[in-house]
Formats: sequence, structure tokens, C-alpha cells
Amino acid sequence: MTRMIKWLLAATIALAAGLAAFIYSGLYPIGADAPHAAATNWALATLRDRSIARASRDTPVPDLEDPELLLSGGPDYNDMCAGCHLKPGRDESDLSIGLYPTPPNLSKRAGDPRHQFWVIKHGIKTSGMPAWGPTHDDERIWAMVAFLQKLPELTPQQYQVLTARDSESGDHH
Amino acid sequence: MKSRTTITTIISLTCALSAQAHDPSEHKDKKGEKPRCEALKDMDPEAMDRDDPVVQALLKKCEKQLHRGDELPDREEDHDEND
Repeated sequence: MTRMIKWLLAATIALAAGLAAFIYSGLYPIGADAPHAAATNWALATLRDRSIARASRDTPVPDLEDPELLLSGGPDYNDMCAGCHLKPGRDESDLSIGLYPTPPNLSKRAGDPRHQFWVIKHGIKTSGMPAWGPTHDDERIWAMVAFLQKLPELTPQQYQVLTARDSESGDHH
Repeated sequence: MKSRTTITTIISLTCALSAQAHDPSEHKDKKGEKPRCEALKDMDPEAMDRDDPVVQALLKKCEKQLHRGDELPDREEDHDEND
């Protein structure tokens, strides 16, 4: 029994030393154009999805059907998100092509509003998704979520109208 | 000397941190693109659900442009009422 514990301890130390050696060696292909192995991809995606689901599960969702929310969330989405997450009539951009993991195309499918709120507020580590929480209050983030919920059903023309930040129709923040 | 450096550092940090605060007005002049409300004319009035928040937001956004001469697409029943 003692011998087995010794072997396990030695194996753990060897594994940790090997991992440290690999990290310091610089052999890991860190480029965004070198995709993960399928297993790594699965592990990271599952880690991300489970973490977001757990962290956001008790978030109360306000009424997102107020048209005013669309009017304030639309211009913010266009300024802050559309470059990566695209818009109606646009299937790719330099950022959506170049980022890894590829940012989801939010103009195609509406996700869970609690998840969307949490991700906008807190961001996602090493994914290119920033945390907007430190600089944007909850009300403003919920307005973006309200807009995201309607985004997949918008035509390019409707998108243009709702996201235009013109001075004439007033600032809806 | 040391206290001056400390004060300078505090002032610099305060300026730097306040510059990070994100005011909505920072976006105000971005592009400044006007909404192209003529797109509303292409919408089918029959299919237009005026209880839909999207439709309500579109109409609200285009209120001023449309009041300046361009008409909203009326529904069939609106025409009937006026006839």
C-alpha cells in the first residue's frame, strides 16, 4: 500500500514537472490560427457553457419587450458587438474570421437572455469577449440583451433603422 | 519630494481611471448615421403587428422623418375607416 502511494506520488510529480517543462519550452502553438484538438475544444466549450449556465441561473430577467430597450440596445450592439457577432445580411467579418474561438453569429439565433446578460457583463476569459460590466450598468446591458432577442428576426433595413445613432431621433440612453 | 510624487501618482491614476468610465455620450457622435426610414415603406402593412416591440421601436425611431412628409404604411382597415 505504501509502495503504491509512493508510485502515485512520483507519477504526480513527474506529470507536474513534465507539464511545467512543456509550458516553459514554448512548444505550445498559441496562434489563433492553430485550432485546438477536438478533445481540448470539447473540454473548453463544456467548461465555458457549464460555467455560464451555473453563474447565470438565478439572474432575474426583466421585461425585455419594451421598444425603448431596442432603441438604446441597438446602437450599442452595432458599436460594440456587430464587428465580431455580425448583423443581418452579413455572414462574416475580419474579426469573426480571425478570432478563435469563432464568435457566435448572434444574428442567426437568439440565446438564453440570462446567459447573454452574464456574458456581456462578465466577458469570457481568453476568448476575445470583454467584460462590459465595469463600464456599463445593468440597465444598459439588459437593453442589449433585449435587442439580441429580436436580432435574428430583423431584416438588414430594420437593423439599420434600429441601430442608427442619429442625433435627430434623440439619444435613447 | 516623496509626497509630491505620491500626489502626482494619485492625480494621474484618478485621471486614468476616470477616463475608463464609459459614458453613453461617448458613442453619440459615432458615425452619426441617420436611420433610413424609407425602408418602412417596403413593409407589408397587413403583416405589420403594431403590438410588436420591433414595429413600435421602428415607428418611434422614424417618427420625426415620417412626420416631415413621408407617410407611414397604413393598414387596410385604416384605409377603410377613411373611405
